[in-house]
Amino acid sequence: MKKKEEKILGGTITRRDFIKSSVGTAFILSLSNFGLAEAFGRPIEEESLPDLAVVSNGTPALMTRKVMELLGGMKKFVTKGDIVVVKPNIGWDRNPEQAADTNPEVVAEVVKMCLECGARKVKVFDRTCNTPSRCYENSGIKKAASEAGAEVSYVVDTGFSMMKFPQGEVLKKWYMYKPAIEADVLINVPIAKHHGLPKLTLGMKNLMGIMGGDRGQIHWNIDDNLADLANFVKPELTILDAYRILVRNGPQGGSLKDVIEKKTIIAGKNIATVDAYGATLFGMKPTDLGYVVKANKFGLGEIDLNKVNIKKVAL
Amino acid sequence: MKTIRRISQIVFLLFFLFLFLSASYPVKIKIPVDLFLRMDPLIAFSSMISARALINTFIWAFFVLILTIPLGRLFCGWICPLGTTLDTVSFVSKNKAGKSYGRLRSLKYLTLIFLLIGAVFSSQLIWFFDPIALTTRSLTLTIFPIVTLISNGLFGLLFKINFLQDTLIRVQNFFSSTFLPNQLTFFRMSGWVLLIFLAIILAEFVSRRFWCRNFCPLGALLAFFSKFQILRRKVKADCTECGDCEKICKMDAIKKDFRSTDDVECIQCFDCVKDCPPHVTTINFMGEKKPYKFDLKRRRVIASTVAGLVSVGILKTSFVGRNSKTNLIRPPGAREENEFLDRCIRCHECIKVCSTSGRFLQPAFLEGGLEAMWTPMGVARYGYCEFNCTLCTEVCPTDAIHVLDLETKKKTVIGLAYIDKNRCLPWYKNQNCIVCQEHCPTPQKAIELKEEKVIHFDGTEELVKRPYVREDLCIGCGICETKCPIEGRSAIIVTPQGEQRWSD
Repeated sequence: MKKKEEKILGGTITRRDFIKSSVGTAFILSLSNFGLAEAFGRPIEEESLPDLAVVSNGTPALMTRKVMELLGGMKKFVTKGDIVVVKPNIGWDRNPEQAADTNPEVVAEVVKMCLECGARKVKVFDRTCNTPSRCYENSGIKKAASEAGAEVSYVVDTGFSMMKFPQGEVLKKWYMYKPAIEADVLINVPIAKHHGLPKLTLGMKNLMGIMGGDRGQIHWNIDDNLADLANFVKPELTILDAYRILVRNGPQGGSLKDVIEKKTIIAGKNIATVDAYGATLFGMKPTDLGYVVKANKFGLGEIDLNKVNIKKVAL
Repeated sequence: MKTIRRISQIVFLLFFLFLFLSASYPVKIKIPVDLFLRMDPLIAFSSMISARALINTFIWAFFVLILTIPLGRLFCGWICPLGTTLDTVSFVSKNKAGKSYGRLRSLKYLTLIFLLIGAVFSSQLIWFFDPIALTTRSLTLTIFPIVTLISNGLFGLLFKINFLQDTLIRVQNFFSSTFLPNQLTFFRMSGWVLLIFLAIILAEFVSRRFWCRNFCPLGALLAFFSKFQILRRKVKADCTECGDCEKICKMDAIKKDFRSTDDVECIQCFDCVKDCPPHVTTINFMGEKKPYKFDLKRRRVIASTVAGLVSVGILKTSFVGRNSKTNLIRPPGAREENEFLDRCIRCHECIKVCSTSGRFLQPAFLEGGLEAMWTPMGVARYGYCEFNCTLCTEVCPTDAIHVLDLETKKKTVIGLAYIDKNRCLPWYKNQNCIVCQEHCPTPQKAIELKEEKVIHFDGTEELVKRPYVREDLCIGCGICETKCPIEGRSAIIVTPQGEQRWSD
């Protein structure tokens, strides 16, 4: 049933739009396809859409699909002809079980959904900490994402250029990766991990993967820098992979003893809100994370989870 | 036959380059990437004599020797990648055979004696002279980085054109996922290596195969073994004595009477057979067999023996000798320094393969004394030893770096990091940093953070995370030193303290 729906929604949209409009908008609404509804000029009732979707207890791929369904479908973020950048964490030469890089199945599923929505191209890359080829191979992301139809590439030195952060308070300029900044849609797909300095690495920290230069220096004032970075990059969507989370010896891990299977995927439009929820996975309060608090001040999302419209589904 | 010889040369050169490029992460092929080095009888002899051990990787060299006894220096003429390179240079520039420097020819025999005397006294001297090691080294340190640099520069230039960007990233990615390194790689010592290589190439314009005729100790060794060869050049009675063969012989092996040949100098290139105007020259298995007498004056042999002894003496008694404490960080699996120096031939196969991984290894200059010059050492400020990598141990032809399995390697200590508290930000400036801890690859981190209360100059108090190195966990991989974000000398430095070396 679900598959059939997607089949209808993918591909030639304009003709289908017309047919569906005559069949009845109610049916489309029942499929949670607000992207299409928008095309008809119908006003969207924001209340009906959650700010944050949380799915648990499924396979990585199923949960990823479900979480997007709850948010109103990938159509809400990706429209036909878009160039989409999916930015996972491929930072370390580790395998998926060690939970140092984003789960490859999650990445692959995001790629598939983007392509189903008619994305012209889906690019996947990350500036790694270990040797790029090693990280791409061992994380399993290179294989999974390219099989899903993405263009997986290593970050090339020539692709960085110095960019000004107009609203930057502390970080005013940095070398940024052009293909990521110039993309129509940037989907941030981090993994939730422990980290020595900012305590956790979630959505905002993952954006460091499109920074050039000596990123080590970002750590000297990490909370302020990450907030400025997120405020500049403003990814359209953040999907936090918490299928396995690394609770100690992050961000690189290595020992399976430090990995917990949470079987959870969180997604939301506002990066600070996603990170705020991410903190709770580790038994922390959102306010424990300095960068989340700062990002909230920049208007990058509500972090008081009581005020957030969260939709939770357990599969 | 000349055509077949040329095809063989091209095939072997391409094969050599293919193996060279295959020595990169991940090594996919089953053929040993250091095959040509293993085929080299000079490396085999010198390493085994110097190490006083049978090294079974050199079974290939044995085959080459077996081939040489009946067929002569076929290796030089048909296989050697340096020989082919020189022939190519001459072919492209239409270079003629050039003047004869007959007297110089015995130099290569003297070099060989010099090197083997060194080996007998356990000093591996061949690294400077062996053609295969020399070629591999030149490719690694100079030609390979230059090609990468040019291709990267070109991409950088074209990247300014917006609509080309996607294609460029794709092309560049194709290169870097096949044979070029992911990142630009730079090497110390590359200028010297390039100069030597260029000198050998340029000597080709003095006379053809100038290096092979006069200096190559491998050629000399093969010449000794081809003394009783049965594949010889013969000239029929109806020779017109036009002298063309003597002019074109690139090894200057044909004598002035055009009929007799210095057989051990002949590399079976078949040029004289092909280009003999009346077609009276042949190289075949028939006819008389006369052992060759080497042109070696006793005085010279004694001189080179003495030179060998003196060199060994100088090398072994130099101030930074092999037994003193040096700051060299050796690759994981490296043998005890003595054994390591007995074996290492500076082919730089390990450095090549490392350049596609952690970029840790660089050739040493005088840090370990004259005797350790150009041996691989880790330079942690530039690159680091990848935790999940054993590539350098897999490509060493002389087993100077012993093969380690991944689990052993992960526990092999190559050094220990220490924190320079006068430079480390959390220590001297009371400012959070932790980049070293973030990158530390051991499953339980060898760099631990302790939250400590500090008092700033203005009297305010703050909790700062300060790094400590756990000696029981640190393996000395050096990634902390590489990634330390302060400018200049790193605030965390790896020294060889507590290193574990391999020994049988």
